[in-house]
Amino acid sequence: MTDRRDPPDDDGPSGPAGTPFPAEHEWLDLPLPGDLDRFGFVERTMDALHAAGLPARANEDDGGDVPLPHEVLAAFRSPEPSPGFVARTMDALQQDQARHLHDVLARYAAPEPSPAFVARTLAALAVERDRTAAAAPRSSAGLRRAWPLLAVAAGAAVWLGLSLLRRDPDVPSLRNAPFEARLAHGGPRAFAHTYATTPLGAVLTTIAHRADPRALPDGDVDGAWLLLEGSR
Amino acid sequence: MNGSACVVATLSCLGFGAAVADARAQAGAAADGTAAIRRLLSELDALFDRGDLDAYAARFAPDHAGALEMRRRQLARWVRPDHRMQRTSTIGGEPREVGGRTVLRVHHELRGTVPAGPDGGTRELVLREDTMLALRRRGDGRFVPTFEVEVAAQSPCLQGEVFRCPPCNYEIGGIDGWLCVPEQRERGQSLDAADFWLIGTDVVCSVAVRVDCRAPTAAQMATELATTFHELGGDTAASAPVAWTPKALAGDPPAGLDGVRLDVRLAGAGGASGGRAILHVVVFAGLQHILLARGSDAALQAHAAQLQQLIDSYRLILVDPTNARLAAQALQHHTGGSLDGVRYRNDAFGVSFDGPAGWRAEQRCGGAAFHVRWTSPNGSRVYLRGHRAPAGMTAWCPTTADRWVHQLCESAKIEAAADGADASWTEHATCGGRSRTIVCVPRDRSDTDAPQRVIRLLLRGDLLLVVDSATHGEADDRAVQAAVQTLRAK
Repeated sequence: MTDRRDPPDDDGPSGPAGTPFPAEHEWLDLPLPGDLDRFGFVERTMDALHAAGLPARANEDDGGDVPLPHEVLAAFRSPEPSPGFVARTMDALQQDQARHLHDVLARYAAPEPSPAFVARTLAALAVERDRTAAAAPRSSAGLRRAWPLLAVAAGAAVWLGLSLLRRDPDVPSLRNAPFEARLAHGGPRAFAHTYATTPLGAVLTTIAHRADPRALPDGDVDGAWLLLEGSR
Repeated sequence: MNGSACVVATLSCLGFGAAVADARAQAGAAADGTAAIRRLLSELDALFDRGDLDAYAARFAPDHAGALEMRRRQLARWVRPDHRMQRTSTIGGEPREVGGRTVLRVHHELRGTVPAGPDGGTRELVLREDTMLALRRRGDGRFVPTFEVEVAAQSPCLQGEVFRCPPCNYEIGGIDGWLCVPEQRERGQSLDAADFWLIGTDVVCSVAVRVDCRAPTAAQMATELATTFHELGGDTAASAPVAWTPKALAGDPPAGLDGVRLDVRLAGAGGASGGRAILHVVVFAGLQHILLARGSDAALQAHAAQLQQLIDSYRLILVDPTNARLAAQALQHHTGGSLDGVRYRNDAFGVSFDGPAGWRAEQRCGGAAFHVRWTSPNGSRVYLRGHRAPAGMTAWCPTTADRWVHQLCESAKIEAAADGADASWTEHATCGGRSRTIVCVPRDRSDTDAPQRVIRLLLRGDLLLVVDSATHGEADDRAVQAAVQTLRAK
């Protein structure tokens, strides 16, 4: 049986006195210790502590209590509570508890409806039923809820339309434009080749860009753009 | 009796009375026609001056709805609620009959005021542009415009209705019914570009010449074009590319000639058919020739023979496949620049720049006057672009340069770093003009792979130089800084 001692400081493979330290997989296979001589163990431990100058051995006449030194007791003594501390603490606790209970109760408690409220509600429901039966328009309440969404959607549509128009104000619709116009409109307006009557220039520019993507564009400037639009 | 009356009398005595009468009738008709055209131009000018582009477009009975829509878009740039231009249009060339229409060149002069700068105020603006106008004459003698497109002010490649560019090594055109309209350089995004319009129909064939440093095959380029149509224009369906040899070379195609044809069905408005695009791509000696014909299904079917005649008129001028200088010659002709190793020289604009040693240098084509890119073994890059002052301006100024660079950065999703170097304009020590340096960061701060980005600007009157560096690592950054010291702009 291996006497279990304090783990060695160096975590080496062997324990004190050269005994081999069990490997991890061996721990589970170690035999259980024999009947522990508890009292004997405690006796030995206490003797060792006393020899080191720790509190004296308890006397049986004292009921087995080991009085701690005064200085030890003083170190762990709790401070005196401030005046009113207890009262304040109790008061806070009670308020917190009351609030919690109120929240719980309020969740489930419903006020008793007045007779007038009941009558109004029933009448409104009857009117709504009649209106729905006659294919009435949506309730104004529903429209009021949808109005912000409609406004946002309308604003987005206007912005999108303006963006499309702003991008190319000269051609109403690229989709319906002739082939050469569609090719030309794909290029920046600053470049002269985007105004060529035939599309070969636009095609050759694209090929040049593909062959050397990091290079500056392979085109020349359009004078009208440089003088008029480029100054904006 | 004046001189002309003497001539008429003499001719009449000699028995040419009928011819004289005919000539008089024709002259009278022509004078009536010219007067009617002038009235129409005045009406269109008045509508433009009022800013009523809807009425302007409604005046047309368009042969090509897409062209009219793009013309409207062009005009709309000058019509703003807070700004108005006044236009005066004059006949710029003798009207002629093409495809059942009267076609003429028109000069437009736009006058107005534009903001003068950040301190407020305005300045007078005079802008000149040319268009090609096609008219149909009604029974009552009035003209109805059917077609109006921008045309490049000058195009030395246009000879009659043939578009011939020896540096780009091709020619095409000269077929009845087709009107050749050279494009302005900044519109076409290529070295050279022109549109052939089958007047009276909605069929158009766009021609463009490019150099592509990736050196794709014709099939790869055609497929990429078709894919991009789909990406930009909605639902499209493309056929597989098939090998194609230009008719002029069918008997003895030169080695190295790579040609394909590819058909694309285009999406139209509201899900309807948008017609078809027929792509022909030829790659030869480093140059790409793109022929893009488009039209409605019905028009392409009805005029298939005329379209084929135009395609058959395309031919290469030089067929020597060993001519490695063709692409470089085309670049030098159209951009003014050439590369010698990493050294770039542009005599047309007086610009020179020695790129970092050991980097790969490539000239590129696009909308800018010239565009060169150097790439390091680590993937760092430095770009040199030159931008001419656009139409309506005689010179760049710091305000307009800032505006343009801000747009470029916005499109590239980068912005000036808050703690970057001082970004104000200063006098450039060696080149003259004014310069500015902007340290940029990606707008997406989570882009941890982003290179260190510095944009250096040099403003020299009519030219804005943009040196854009995107470097990985300090070594590449130092190499770019050293290279920037070599920039010269006379």
